[in-house]
Amino acid sequence: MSKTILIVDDSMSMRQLVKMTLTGAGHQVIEASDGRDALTKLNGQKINLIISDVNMPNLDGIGLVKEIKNRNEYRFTPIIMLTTESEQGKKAEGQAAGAKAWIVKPFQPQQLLAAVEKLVG
Amino acid sequence: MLELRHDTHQDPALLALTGSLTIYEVRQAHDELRAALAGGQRQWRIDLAELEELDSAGAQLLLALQRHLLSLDGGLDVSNPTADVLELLELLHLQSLYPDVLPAQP
Amino acid sequence: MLNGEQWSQLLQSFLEEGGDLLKQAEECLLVLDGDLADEEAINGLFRAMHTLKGSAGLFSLTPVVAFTHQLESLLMAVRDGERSLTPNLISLMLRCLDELGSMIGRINVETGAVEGNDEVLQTQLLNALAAEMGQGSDSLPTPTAPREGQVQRAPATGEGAWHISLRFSPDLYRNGFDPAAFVRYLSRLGEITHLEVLDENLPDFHQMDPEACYLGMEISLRSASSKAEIEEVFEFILDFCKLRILPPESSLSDYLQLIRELPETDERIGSILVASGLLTEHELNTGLTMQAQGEEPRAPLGSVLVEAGMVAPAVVNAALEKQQVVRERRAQESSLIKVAAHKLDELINLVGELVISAAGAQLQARAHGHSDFIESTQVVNRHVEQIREAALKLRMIEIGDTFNRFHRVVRDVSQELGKKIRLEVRGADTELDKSVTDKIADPLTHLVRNAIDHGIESAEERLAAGKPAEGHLALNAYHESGMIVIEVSDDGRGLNTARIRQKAIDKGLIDPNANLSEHDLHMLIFAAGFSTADSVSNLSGRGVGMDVVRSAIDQLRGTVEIESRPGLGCTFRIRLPLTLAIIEGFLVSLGGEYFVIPLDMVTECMELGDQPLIDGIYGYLNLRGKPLPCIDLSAHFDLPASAVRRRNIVVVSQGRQQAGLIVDQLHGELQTVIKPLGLLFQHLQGISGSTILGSGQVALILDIPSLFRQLQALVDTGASETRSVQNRQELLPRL
Repeated sequence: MSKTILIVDDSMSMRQLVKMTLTGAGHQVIEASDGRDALTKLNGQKINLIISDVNMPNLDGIGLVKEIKNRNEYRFTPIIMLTTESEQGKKAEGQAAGAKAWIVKPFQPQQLLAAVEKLVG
Repeated sequence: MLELRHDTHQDPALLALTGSLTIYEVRQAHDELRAALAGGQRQWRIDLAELEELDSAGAQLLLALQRHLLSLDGGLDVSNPTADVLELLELLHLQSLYPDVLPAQP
Repeated sequence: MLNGEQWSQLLQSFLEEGGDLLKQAEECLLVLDGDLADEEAINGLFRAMHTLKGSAGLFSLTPVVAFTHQLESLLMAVRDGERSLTPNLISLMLRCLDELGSMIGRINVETGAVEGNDEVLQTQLLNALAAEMGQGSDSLPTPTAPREGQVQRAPATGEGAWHISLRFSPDLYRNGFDPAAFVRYLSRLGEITHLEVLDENLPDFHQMDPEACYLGMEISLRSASSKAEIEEVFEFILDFCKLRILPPESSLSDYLQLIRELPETDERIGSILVASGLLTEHELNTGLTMQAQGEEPRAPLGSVLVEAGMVAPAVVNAALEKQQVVRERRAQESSLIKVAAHKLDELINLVGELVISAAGAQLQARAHGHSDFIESTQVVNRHVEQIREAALKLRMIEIGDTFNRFHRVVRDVSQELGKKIRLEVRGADTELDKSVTDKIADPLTHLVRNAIDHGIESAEERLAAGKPAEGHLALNAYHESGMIVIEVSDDGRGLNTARIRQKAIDKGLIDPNANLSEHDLHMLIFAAGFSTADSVSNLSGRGVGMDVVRSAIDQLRGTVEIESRPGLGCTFRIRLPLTLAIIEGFLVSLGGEYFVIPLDMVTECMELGDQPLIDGIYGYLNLRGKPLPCIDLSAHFDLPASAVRRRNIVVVSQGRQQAGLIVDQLHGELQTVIKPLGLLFQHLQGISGSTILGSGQVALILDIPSLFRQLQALVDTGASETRSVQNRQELLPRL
């Protein structure tokens, strides 16, 4: 079933990779370049899943998760965090904020696809 | 978005759900269902023709409602689920919620 | 789903991963060949098969999944100490890896199907494995697609069905998780034959929190997956559920224990197990009765991952270890990035262009004489230089990977020939350009096969010659004056010059009266159509001769030399440039023409005094009391005679040879981006490529090894009959 997925990452190539992988699997993808941009892009529309980088300018991934959990219409939306091994310290903070699914970069496209399907398949 | 209409003048009483019944809507649905149950009807038929989306939380609410009615010697029948809703019911083998009336094939 | 191109791209990355995994697996097997009990190798092998199976599953490559599954189970048994490896098993498994490689090779990237799958061979291999393990083939069933066939009720024994119990925590939904999604995903691993949602923990409708999860699930899954793979499906919700997984064909007591441990009533769980076909009614009743009578000690409740009984300890350990291994691998992966080679090529091409344009800018700055401008172009050039070095380093990889593949080649070939040979690898950490590595692998394979086939004698011959029965083959790599040197040496019989000579005469390659040096005779084995074997064995004689080795090395701008000692062995020494893209050059000019000499070959420069060349164009000069063979390049290339009064000599060296090149002017060092010569000029002797100078002018890159060969042909007294003499004849009219 086609889902609407928001990908938040300041790296365009990472967004491209994620977008290609997900649109290839038949999903709709909305792109945002950082947490603040993501909140603008949400704009009340229905989102099935959020995939977010941790380290971003303006509003980082953890801040974004906290914001999302505070918004009624998005508080139950599943979130996949993309992180690097060096950001493991952020994981505890992120999990406390409500992001429970983490994927360590670099990852294979099929790995991401598998995670997405597990959460919203 | 969920819209819940009920008609307790019929027997079984009718319940129609429109929109989505997911984790986002279950609290609203729970509140409205409790209000509807206040009329005392034990036998209900739920029409899902307009329900576009159902998730496990929504299905759980229907299961709970069904158990409640059964415990009162009543019951809950499901009719007209859309294809997506039926897919979930079948995936989870929720046989007690299988429809006795299937939607007309388009 | 995925569109064709994207699918192909993803599949392509699987193919690469698959190749890597097979290589890892093979390396592990070869380690095990030396030490059957090497735990790290067994784990590595298991891990490789496990990962391969997992990835293949994502692409629904059923034959690959089925085949790897069998290998994985076998390895699991080995790892858990239930079976032990034998040399025969290792040989068999190597053949299995070959078959896997060929399966992966036959995957059509467009359709995602394994084309022309040889199920017969696969079944044979698996049966042979089973036989070698000393058990009937029923424990290693022939591969069958686990997902094929209609929905069937599992047979009463529960054969092949996993039992999965899930009890969710109330917070599940609120964290964005929907158990339905996980069930959907689980159904990809196999066929869900039974699923029951447990709703008995639902509180009274009026009291319930509709956002809390009260459900549980009992699932039967027919699947070839491993426990770790099933557990991975639930990886994100492990904190939000109690997960119990019972492997197929668990014992009655395992199921009884499960019944005891689950919070629901024994009857409820019992009836689910019966409904799933995992237990018969009779078994259940007997079991429960026995339990009630206290005939079986009650196991402690509440342990999540089940103590003894639910799963064999070995299986639990396996699962834990597997997770550990996955974690470790992720940690390693994060420090590496895989990049397609062509992207690096693109980068290096661009850096090449950058080098040229930066040099152009510097020239212009100098022409304008603007000091600030000159200074900033110098800074730019310095950075460009750093970028160039960094970019080139990106391509440098250790030769070890290439060397290591020869363990397998040596093992296979020596086994085929019934020879016992030990391979020694040295200098595996020596780095060279990836493109060079790729191109040198085949020639090396040929040299290695040749050494085993022709060089190293049979054990009897060796013993008779007073040598150890075991032959010795060595691969060695090291850096030497800006080149990488790769040696293939054996302790065999050495080259038989008499036979080479006879063969060459028979083949009409040389005149029967020719007087050739030892060196020239050796080099004859590289001549096209030459083969020393009396009978073409199917090893070295694969339709390609040593001439292919030679031309491959030539294409890499490398050289090869042979050092043979009769009865003691033979060494092939290959010298290659470290990279093909950019070199440090030394710019010289002849009249108005510019030439580049690879800097790493230049040993010194000096002014050409008044001493004349002994022989016009070619001849000797006195270098510190020793004769230095020299070429007057202007004359050699037929350029107009030099008008410059003070000319210079650039002394170049290659290996132990030295020569002087006489040029007009020296212009100093230069980053040289090599552009291949067009088709028209490829046959040119003595020129290996061209480059563009900052001024836009073209400079030709001198092919020093080829100049050396031409010079050698001229100075060799006995060279009248060799192939290289043709060069002399070409050159003679100019003399």
